[in-house]
Amino acid sequence: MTHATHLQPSQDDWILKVDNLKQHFPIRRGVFQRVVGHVHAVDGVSFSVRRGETLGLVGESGCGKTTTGRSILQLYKPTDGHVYFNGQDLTRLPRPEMRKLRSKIQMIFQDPYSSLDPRMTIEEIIAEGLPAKGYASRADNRERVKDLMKLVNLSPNYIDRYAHEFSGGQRQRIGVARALAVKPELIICDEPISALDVSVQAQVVNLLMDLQKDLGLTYLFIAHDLSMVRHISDRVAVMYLGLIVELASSKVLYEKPMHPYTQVLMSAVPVPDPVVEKSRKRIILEGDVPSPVNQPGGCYFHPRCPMAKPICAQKRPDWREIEHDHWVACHFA
Amino acid sequence: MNPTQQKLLEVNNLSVSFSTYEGVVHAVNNISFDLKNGESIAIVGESGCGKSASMFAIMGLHNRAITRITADSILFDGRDLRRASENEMNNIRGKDIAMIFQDPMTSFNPVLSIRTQICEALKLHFRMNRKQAEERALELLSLVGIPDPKSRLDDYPHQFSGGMRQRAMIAMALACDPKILIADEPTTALDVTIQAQIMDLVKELQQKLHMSIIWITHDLGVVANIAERVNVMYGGYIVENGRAEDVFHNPQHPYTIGLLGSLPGIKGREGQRLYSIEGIPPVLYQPAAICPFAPRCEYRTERCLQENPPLISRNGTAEHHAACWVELRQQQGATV
Repeated sequence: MTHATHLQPSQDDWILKVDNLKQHFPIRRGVFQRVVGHVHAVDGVSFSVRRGETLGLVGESGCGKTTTGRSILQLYKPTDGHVYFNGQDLTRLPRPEMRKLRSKIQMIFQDPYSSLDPRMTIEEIIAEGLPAKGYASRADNRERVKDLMKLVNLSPNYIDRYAHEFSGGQRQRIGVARALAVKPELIICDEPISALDVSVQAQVVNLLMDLQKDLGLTYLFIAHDLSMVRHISDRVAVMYLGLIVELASSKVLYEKPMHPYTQVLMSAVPVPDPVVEKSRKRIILEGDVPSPVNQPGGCYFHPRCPMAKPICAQKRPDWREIEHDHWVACHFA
Repeated sequence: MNPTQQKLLEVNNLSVSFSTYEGVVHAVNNISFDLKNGESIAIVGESGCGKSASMFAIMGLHNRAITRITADSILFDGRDLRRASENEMNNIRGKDIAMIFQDPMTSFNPVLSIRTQICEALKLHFRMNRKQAEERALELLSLVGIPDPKSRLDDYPHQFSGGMRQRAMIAMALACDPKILIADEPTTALDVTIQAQIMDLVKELQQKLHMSIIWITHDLGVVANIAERVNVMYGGYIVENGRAEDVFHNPQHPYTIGLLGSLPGIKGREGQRLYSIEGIPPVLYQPAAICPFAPRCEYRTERCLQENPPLISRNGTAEHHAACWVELRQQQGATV
C-alpha cells in the first residue's frame, strides 16, 4: 500500500468540477400524487476540487451539503448541471460505466452505527467491494482486508467480529477501510466525526490526514463544525439554502470572510477560552433558515442579513472571483 | 463573584449505579459540587461520563427499580433532597429546579399543543385558572423571543423549528420562576447560529430572573462562553474543578489537557496533527481502584496504577482541584 508520494495540490489539476449543479426534489400530494412544488435542495452550485487537496463544505442543517455530495456520486439524478470527474461528465455516463467509476469515488458516512450492516463480519463489510476490482480468491481478499485494517489502525485479529462489538471511533475506522478497499481517488466524507466523542474525533481526523498524505487521496469534507473543517481543509466552501455563498482557502476565509453569512457563522462558533469569550462581540442572527421550497427573491440571505440593502431583495448576486481563488456571491463584497 | 454568596445547592459524595444485564455500572462515583446563588457552573465530559446521570439523581428522575443512589447530602436551599418525600419532590421539580433537555423534539409531548404543555405546570404549581395560565404562557413565550406568541400558542411542537422548539422548552422550564435551571446539552442538536441565539437568550434570562444555572455539555467552547466555574467529569468521577479561567488556561488533569488539545483551535495550527487521547472512555463495573484515566494517560506513574487519586488542591488555591497524582506544570496543549 505504499505509493507514498505526498501530492501537493497542483494549481490546475482538477479532479472534480461541479458546474451549476441543481437537485430539486418534487413534493407530491393527494390521491394522484400530483407535484405541488419542489424542494430546492441544491440550487446551482459550482466549484472544483484539485487533486490531493481537501475541500471543506460547511453550512447549517438543511443547506444542501449532503445532497451535493450524493448528487456528485450520482446517487440522485441531478436536475440540472454537470459533474466532471477527471474530465468525464458523470451526469451523461451510462449506468454500467458509472458503476465501474464508483470505485474511484467513495463515501464515508456520518453515523457509524447505521452505516455498517449488523449481520456482516468486518471481513465481509470491508471486502464487499473487492470482487468488482478483480481480487479473485478468498485468501487474497482476506489478506487485503487485514492490510486495510492495519492501515486504519485496527487490529487484524478483529477480522471475524461484527460491527456492534466496536466503539464509535472504531466503527468509523471500519467505514474508512471499506471506502479505501477499492482504491478510490476521491473520498466524500459526509460529517464523518460529528457522531463521535470529542477525544475520539481527533483520532479519526488524524487518521484521515495521515491517509491523505500516504495515499494521495482527495477529500470533499462535508461538516458543520467550522473549526474542524478549517483544521483539515485546504479550501472551504460555505453553503446557505442550496447555494455556495463563499469559497476561499481556509486561511483567507477565516481571516477575511467577505460574505455576511460567513462572518456570522465564524462569530457564532464558541471559542474554548473564557477570556476571549468575554471580550468577544458576536453577531447574532435573527430568525431561522427559510424553507428551501419557497426561497426569498434576490439574495437568499437578505431577510436575515445584517447589511441588506434594497438591491439584495431584487437581484440575485453573481458568483464571482474577487481575488485569486476567493469566490463570493454578495453585492457588497 | 461575591465570596459571601450563599450556596443554593450543595452535593456531597453523590454516587449513582445502575443494574444492567452485564452487571452493576457505576455511573457516578462520589462527586461533590456546589452552586451559589445567581451563579452558572458547567459539568463537562464525554458521553457516558455520568454528567446527566448525576443531574437526574438530584432531580429524582431515575427509575428506582434499577438505580442505586447514595449521597452524604444533597442540600437545596438548606433542605436535604434525599429525605424529601415524593410529594415534596413533585413540588420542587419543575418549580424550584427546572430542567431543559438536549432534544426538544422528544421532550415535548407531540399530541398536545404548546398551550396545554406550558399551562399544565402553572395550573399544577400555582393553582392558576385557565385565563391566568394563558396570560402567563403568552408572557413567557414573548420573554423567550417567540414572535407573535398569540398565534403560536395553539401550535403543536412539530410546527416549530428546532430553535423555536428549544425556546418554547425554555419558556416551559421558566414557567414557575425556578431558582435553578439545569440545562442538559440544550444546544447540542442545534446549528451554530441557533446555538448562539439560545446561549445569549439563557444568559440574558439569567440576569433578568436571577437564576442559577448548571450547564451540562461536552462542548468546551460552550463552557468557556457561559460558565464561571467548571467541573470536568471522566468515568463517573470529577477529575478537575475550578474557575473557568484556571481550568482553561492552566489545566491540571491530563484528561482536561487532552480535551483542550484535541480541539483544532480557531486560529493557527492548520495542517498539524491534533493531539489525540488514544483509546476510549471506560465503563466502570466497579468503583475504580486505580486512576480511571490511567490506561489512556501519557503521564502515568506507578502510583496511578495503585491508588485512585482524590481531588487535590492546585496552585495553592482552594478553588482549583485536580484528581491526579502528577503535579503538572504549565502544560503544552493548554494554550488554545
